[in-house]
Amino acid sequence: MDLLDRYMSAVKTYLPADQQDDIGKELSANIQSEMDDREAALGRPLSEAEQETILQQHGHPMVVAGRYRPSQSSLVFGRQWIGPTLFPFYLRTLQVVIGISFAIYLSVFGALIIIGQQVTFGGVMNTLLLQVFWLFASVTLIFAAVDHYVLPTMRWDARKPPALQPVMRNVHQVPRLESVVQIVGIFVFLTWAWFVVNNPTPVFGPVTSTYRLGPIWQQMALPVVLILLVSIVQAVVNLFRPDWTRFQLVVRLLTDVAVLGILAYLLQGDQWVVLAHPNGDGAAALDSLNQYVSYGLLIVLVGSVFVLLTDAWKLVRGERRRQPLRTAGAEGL
Amino acid sequence: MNDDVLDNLRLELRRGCLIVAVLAQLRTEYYGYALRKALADQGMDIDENTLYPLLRRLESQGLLVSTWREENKRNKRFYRLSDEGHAILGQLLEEWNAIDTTLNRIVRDVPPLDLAR
Repeated sequence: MDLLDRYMSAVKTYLPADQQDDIGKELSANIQSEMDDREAALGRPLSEAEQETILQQHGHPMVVAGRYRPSQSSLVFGRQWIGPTLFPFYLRTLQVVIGISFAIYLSVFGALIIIGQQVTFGGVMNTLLLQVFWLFASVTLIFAAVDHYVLPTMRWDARKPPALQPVMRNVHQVPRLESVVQIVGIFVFLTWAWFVVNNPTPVFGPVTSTYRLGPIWQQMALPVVLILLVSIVQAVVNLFRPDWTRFQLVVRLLTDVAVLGILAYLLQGDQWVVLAHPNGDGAAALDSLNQYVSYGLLIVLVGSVFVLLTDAWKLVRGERRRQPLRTAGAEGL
Repeated sequence: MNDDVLDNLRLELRRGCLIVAVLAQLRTEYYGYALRKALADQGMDIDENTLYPLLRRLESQGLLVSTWREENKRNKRFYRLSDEGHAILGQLLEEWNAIDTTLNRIVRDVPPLDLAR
């Protein structure tokens, strides 16, 4: 595999699957013509270093592939904060973190309304808008920093073995978009959780002065942080090695089991929410509120079992598919 | 800061011109790299990461048509203007001439030194 083939393999991993071959063939022909032209001018074949110079001038494979996306949207406030290369990653991350955040808040406020707590529309909107602003600002700052300080310094590493060998082309890959969303999403969640430990306003909104989280949540803080850090490491590894699908699934299975353990421990408790002030308002509704939290935890437990079974099935299916490749000499981790 | 502003304005100014230049050049058939060279030879340098995806976008809009053909023992994708592209190019050039005339009328009486200030 020569340098151009390796470069094109890297570019293709960032392209949509249905366009990889077509764009790859055309771009490869154009770069090859450029190299032929240079050889004709010099009157000799290009050295490997000269070929690499041409490829580096074209840019990092992620940037090159990004220009072929149908949408070239970017985030511009006066100046461009997030360019077209990262914009789809940014948008998907925002959708995921804001979507999850809304689901949590609607559940919490739903439970508070059902137990008869005084929850005003203004109070709910204040909490939601504050949360959306916070998520938007933190995700935007992370992506803007990557766009301005990391992306321009990224160079294609011609000496690194290509992520895709020809025999592995049809093997499922972990989409880089998924890895980026996972890294940024977990990072944002960790900072949010750290903030909530010190100030529960983002969880309880208009009834912050009435309730607070029970001590059982603090007991689970360290295991949760460890699971999330393991997930970040897995996503970073898969960002650079998207073909390591087995690694992703094995780590996921382990974290799925750990999450089930944490949920099982949480379900043994009964004081997930406590009064912010002893003998304060809200004592009458406290038992009902904890009842709804237990229902919520049970729903999450059922969902987690489903996720565990899905990941286990994906791993088994991947192993079955890998068998014929193994006999052909491919050993994907 | 001024350099950033100037760069942004130049980018905006060039963006529309590039499309007109590409459409006009593709009245004759070219493949990507040859087109880039032909435009550069006439003083219109275009970054390859801008030109190659642009060709595909213009084709998807129906302004260009492409065929794969062998040249110098290599398969290449050749682009040329479609019938619709010819019509659009004519309208764009009319628009361009009108803008050019207006702009020249506006800046005609301004000395170059004042323009640079």
